[in-house]
Amino acid sequence: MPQRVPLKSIELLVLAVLADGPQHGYALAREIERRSGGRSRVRPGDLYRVLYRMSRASLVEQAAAPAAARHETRRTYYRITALGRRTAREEALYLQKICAALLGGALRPERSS
Amino acid sequence: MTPAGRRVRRVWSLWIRLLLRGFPPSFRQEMAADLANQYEADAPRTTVQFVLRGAAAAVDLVPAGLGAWMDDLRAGLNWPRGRAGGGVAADVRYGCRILVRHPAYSGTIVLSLALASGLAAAVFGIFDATLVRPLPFPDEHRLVSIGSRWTNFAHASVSIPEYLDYRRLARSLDSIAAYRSVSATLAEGHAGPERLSGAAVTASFFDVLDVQPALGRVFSDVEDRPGAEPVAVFAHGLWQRRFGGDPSVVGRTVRIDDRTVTIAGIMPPSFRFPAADTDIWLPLRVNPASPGGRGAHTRRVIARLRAGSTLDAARDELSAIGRGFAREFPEDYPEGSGWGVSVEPLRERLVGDVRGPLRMLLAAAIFVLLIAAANSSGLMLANASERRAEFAARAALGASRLRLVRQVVVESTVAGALGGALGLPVAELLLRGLHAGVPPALSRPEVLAFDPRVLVFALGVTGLAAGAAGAYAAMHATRVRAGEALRSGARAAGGRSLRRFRAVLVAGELALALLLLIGAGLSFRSVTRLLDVDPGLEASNVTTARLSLPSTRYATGRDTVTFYRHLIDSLEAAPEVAHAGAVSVLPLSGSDSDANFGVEGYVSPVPGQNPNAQARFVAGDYFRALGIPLVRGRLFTGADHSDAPFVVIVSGALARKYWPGVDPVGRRMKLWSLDDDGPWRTVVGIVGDVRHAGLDGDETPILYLPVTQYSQRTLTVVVRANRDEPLGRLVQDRVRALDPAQPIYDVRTMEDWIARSTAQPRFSLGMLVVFAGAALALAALGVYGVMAYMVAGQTRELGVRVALGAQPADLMRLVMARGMLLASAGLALGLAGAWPAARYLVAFFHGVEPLEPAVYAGAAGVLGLVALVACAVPARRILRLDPTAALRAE
Repeated sequence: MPQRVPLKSIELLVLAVLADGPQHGYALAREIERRSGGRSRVRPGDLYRVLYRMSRASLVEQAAAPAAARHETRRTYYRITALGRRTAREEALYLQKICAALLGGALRPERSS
Repeated sequence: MTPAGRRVRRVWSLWIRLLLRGFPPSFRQEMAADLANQYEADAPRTTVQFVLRGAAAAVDLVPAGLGAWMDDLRAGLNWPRGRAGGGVAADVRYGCRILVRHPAYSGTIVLSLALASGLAAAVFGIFDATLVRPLPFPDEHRLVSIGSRWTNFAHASVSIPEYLDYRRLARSLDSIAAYRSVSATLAEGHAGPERLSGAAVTASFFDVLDVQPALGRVFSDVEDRPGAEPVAVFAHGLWQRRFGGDPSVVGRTVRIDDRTVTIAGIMPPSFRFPAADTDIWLPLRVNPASPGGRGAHTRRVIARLRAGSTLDAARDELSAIGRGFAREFPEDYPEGSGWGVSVEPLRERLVGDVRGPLRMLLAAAIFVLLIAAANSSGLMLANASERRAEFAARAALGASRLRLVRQVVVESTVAGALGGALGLPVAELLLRGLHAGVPPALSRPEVLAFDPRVLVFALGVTGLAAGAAGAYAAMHATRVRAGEALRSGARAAGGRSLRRFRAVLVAGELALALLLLIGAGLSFRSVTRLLDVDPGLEASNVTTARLSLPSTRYATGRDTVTFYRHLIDSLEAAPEVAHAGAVSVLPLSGSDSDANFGVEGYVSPVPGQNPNAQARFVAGDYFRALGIPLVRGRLFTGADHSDAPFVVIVSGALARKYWPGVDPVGRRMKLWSLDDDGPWRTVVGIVGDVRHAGLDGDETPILYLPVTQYSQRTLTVVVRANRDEPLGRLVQDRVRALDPAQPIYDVRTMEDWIARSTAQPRFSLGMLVVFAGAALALAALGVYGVMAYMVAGQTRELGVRVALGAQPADLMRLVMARGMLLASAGLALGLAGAWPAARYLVAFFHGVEPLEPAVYAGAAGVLGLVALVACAVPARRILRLDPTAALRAE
């Protein structure tokens, strides 16, 4: 597997949203904004650049629109691939390790001495 | 939706699609439509919204597009991502450390590249200013020069009737103008009368060139008619010089040639046409009612092509008009005269002559740059191969090969950029020095200045050269298998192919250096031969000065003759003067003046076509003053006055041509033609030939007439001193004593005129000598480097041999033999290339053959000697070799 971890935070966010089901670009951007509590505002150009890069790396792929949204023919949907799922998991574990180490070490709540 | 809203929407869609063009093609295929939808779904409705959101879209899409390209590039190269690999910035820092730690290595590279790029940038600067940059006129590619073509004249002057016909008939021309150079005397000012160099031009002149005055106006058609109130347009320089740039002078009057003239306007400083020193433009005042003779070819003509018309179309049309002339006026355009109309781009007329020499110099500069690049490449190769252990270690720790190559390329590029940056002051200095040295014909000094393009050129070329050299070195040196290089830690492994490659580089350097040396040698040969040419006159101790007597103070020919006689008499009365005289056109001054004539008893091979030769009008003791020898007969004397029989003196070449095998003294001829109403003139003497047009020209057939029998307003006074002493001051004083309002100009020694006539070949020689010197130094450095490396690399082997009883002197000879074999290969290669190169070069060098054995032998000898020394210095180390130390070393 090409060296993908660590991911950029935007990549992890895209994988996180798509792990819940296929989305089209616009909804993807809104959802990323929502999950980050409005802190990550994603501009369309940036988002598509990331999607393009990730589809090149086979982390995501284009998907057929879900049955409920068939009339919206103009929109392209994206879904996570198996590799994407594995990579997201790996990244999450990696972050977890770092965070655990941080919180248990240098960033441990200070004790008054 | 309102129509306006719909329009905004359409433009919005176009804008988004334009921005999407910045993405890679595969992105556009897969995703662009979807991305565009997102923007289009939410189109702005008003112009204000459009501007704000349009800018926001650009801020989003432009970096995203570039980013997508970068992603593609990284993916394609398998380039490590920023976080994983450490950035280019780190490579630059590391590279700088390496360069600082090896000052001899980096210093050699940086300095040799600085020298070479400085030379190249300076020549490029001249090349660019002269040949690349457009003339300072709008749409200059539409400007043409129109001339008359005759046998022996490719682009001669035009007569006024011809000009008027072209103006009336030519449809392919937008506008057309005639002009001629004039001189004028400006009386105003504290410095006394000043002689101005000017141009008499038609009012259309400024339209053709499409220039506007900086102040005031140019003159109108009405002012260009005969009898109109006199007006003048001033050059910026004259305005600054005489009026301190006072804008209120526009509309004021000045005294020019004893007439009151209104200053109509001031041209901008960039406008210097027809000559760089043109001070003033006066109306030419063509009179269509009496335009003068059709055969009086005395005006220059320029024109602007109609928009959409082409040079070929203009040529076709004007040639057809010219054929019409020949049908209508056969006596003016006799058959066999070679008559035709010549239409040339104006740029070609102005700089066509120097294109060849400048290209040659640029090629020479690029040779030097190539040598420096080859040199640096060799050094980088050696350096990189010495670091094989380092690379192997890094590879073992997981660095990809690409990563290592990038490291070396970055290092080389840093060195190259440093060299280029240091080359800039070199170029700047050279250009500043050249400002004085570049012959005016070779450049337009006002644009020969330091300019960002030169910077881009220097940095680009050296960066590229060094980067490419480094890349090659790196590919070579990083071809390591981790274990192997770590174990041996030696430069031996793979070193042979590197050494061989370096040897090839050095041989190439030597070959190029030899080419440059031969070029410089041919140029030197050419210039020395040129200066050895006998001009046909005795230049030492001669001072010249030009005068132009205005018709206002000297109304008749008799007045001018009297003035010049008094002037020459008063000069000859001075004790320091040996002889004094005057002539209408001085040899080697770059000007000429011809006349037709008829020779009694001579039948022209082309019926109707009269003989033509250079014509000179002389006063006083001109021939003795300039040292032109009398061959037969006598010189002009005081007895040849206007009432005496008309006389003429001919040059040897003219005598041979029109009186072959006969003594011309006593024979008769007429000016213009045998049918002319003028008097017969008797040949009284033959004088020696002079090379009027230049030392590289032929002996010019010349006809000499006394000014007493054909008066002239403008003459060049020629004074020969008894000893080596310039007499400009004396001439000035004597002129002032006769007429305080009369300025003199072009005060120069005859030797100065000769030097000017050879300025361009001498300039080329100077530049070539500099290039050849630089090439020689760089090639020596290359040989030295390769030899030093070879000796150092074989220390152990040599040590073993010495320990086994070999004589160090024998070993040294052995090593040197190898070096000289390399040098010989380079010399052979250079000699092989020199033959075709020299055949190209001799076109620019007067009087040399492509095969000049002395030049070839000399150049090869010098280079061989330098290579020998460069071999010997490192090889001498063998003599001091301590076998035990050498064996311990590794």
